[in-house]
Amino acid sequence: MRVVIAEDLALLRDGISRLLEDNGCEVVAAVEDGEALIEAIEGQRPDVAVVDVRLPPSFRDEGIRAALEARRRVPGLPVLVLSQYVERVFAKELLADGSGGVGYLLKDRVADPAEFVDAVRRVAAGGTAMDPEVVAQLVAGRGPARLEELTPRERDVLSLMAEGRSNNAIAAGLVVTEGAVEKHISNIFGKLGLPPSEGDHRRVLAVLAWLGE
Amino acid sequence: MRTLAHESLYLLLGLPTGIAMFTLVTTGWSTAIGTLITFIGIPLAVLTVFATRGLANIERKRSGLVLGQPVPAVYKARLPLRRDDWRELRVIWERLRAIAVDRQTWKDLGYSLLSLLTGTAGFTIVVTAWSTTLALLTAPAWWWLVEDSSIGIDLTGVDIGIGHVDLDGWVAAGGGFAAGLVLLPISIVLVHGAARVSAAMASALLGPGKRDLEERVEHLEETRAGAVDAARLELERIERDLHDGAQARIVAVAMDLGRAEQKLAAGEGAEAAELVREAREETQRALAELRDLARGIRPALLSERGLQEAITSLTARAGVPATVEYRVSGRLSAAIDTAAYFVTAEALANIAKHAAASSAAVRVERRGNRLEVEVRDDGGGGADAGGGGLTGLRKRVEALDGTLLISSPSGGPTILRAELPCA
Repeated sequence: MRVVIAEDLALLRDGISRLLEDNGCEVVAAVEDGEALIEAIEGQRPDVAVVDVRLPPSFRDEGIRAALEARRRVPGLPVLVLSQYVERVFAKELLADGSGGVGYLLKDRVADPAEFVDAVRRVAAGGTAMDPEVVAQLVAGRGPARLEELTPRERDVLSLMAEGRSNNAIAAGLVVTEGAVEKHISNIFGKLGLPPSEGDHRRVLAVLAWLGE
Repeated sequence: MRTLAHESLYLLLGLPTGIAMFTLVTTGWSTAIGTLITFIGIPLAVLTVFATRGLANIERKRSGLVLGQPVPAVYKARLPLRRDDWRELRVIWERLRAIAVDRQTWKDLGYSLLSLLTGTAGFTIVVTAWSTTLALLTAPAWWWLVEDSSIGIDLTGVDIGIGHVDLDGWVAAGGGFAAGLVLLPISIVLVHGAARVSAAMASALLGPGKRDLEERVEHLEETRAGAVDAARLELERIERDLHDGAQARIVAVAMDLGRAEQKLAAGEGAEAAELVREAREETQRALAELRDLARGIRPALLSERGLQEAITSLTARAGVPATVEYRVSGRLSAAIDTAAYFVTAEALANIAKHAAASSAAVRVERRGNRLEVEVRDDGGGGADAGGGGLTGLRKRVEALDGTLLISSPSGGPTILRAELPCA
């Protein structure tokens, strides 16, 4: 898997590079700002870009804007955005084009290399990786009224699904069978009035779109 | 009675001060203008302005006898009378300009020119009114004294200012007393009126005018906005420092430990140990950064030991050898000593970063109701007064009603001086 990294702090840029390389990824470019990111993406055509939200020169949401621009130039380019804090609005912007291959994680998640690399792989494969914090904010943004029809267990499944987990992973996480997860998911779709979707990724996007409305 | 005594004293003192002020400004300014082409004219003019301010301040206090409290002084420009200032051409120029555009300089001059006239008038009124009234009221006593005394001094005629009255009988003496009784309220009104008019003039010319107050409000609005701005910039800086510093380091530590865990599981003990060592070092760096950040918000030493020790500690950590001259007695408010500390800290940091200096000197001194904080170096000069750090510092100082002066000619030296009010 070929990865481009954009992170302005050398300490973290090097650390993430080494972490990914330890786990069998090839870091084809590690850059410091948004402009270099777009250049690297157009030149290298990586499988996935890992991008820090805050990049020079503005140190605001340069990374988000660079990621969106990169996806505009290379449609479907998988992008995983990292940040020291999460903002619903950034998540919505990333999800706005309705196609997969996006992720938005707190930087804290690099503490678990296996999980982190799994998230990178999921995004590279066109899936999603939403931080539990992002999902919690999205769920909170929906307000309790729309969610109270769901049972607590269904809400757990909804959150894990929104994070981008596969049925398999949700089942493992909640210690239930995959069949039970599938049943929960179909109940959730029914209660929220979402059309049944084929495939994990489409389903997740539908859920995130509903949460982000 | 007390008021009347104050008013009379006020008018009596008006003559000597009037003479002094008038003489000072006429001789001072004519000499200064006469010698303007030689270089002595300018210092002479400044000296005259300075001396006029001294006398004007006495006048402000004198007016307090009538007004109940002294007229407040509203000078904007301070005088360049410190020995050091004369060495800095830019400082001299700035101060001279400030004196010239300070309205109060010219109002002082106007007051001084008028003061001889008003002083003489007031003095004449109070002396004439009281001597006449007193003489008339005491007429019977004079007559009785002269009649009965055997001293033989001819006191049959008493000059009472309005003419020569012969005290040649009970009738005349009684008439004089009656006239004195009539004159008494008139004298009171005259003295009162003269004192009021004179004090009103002092208040108008020596005190703050409507424009001064408007300017003051404008200045306060500006500096308040500056203070809010400075606070915002400071918070942004702290957030940046946290984000790029300690926070990032702790993420790196977590990442190193995560990788170490992986290596251990894979049986790569040596590599895991290396990662743990990196993580430990990173933790120490994160702690050091947090400590610096906390110190940047409010240095612990300042709270615990006060300004002198905090500044001494700053100079000990400065990149260049620095001396401290500390002459402050009494306590300073927390806002003032924090500002003084940060002026010193920023100046020393700039010296270490940009000045290419071999030494620095810090002077903290209380002069009257002002605290002066001065940091100078022997470096190359050319500091940018509009730069981010100095602008923030200026806002911080101005928020406390202080001023920040930077002199940094190309070739050096750089002098940064903050003057903070500390009543």
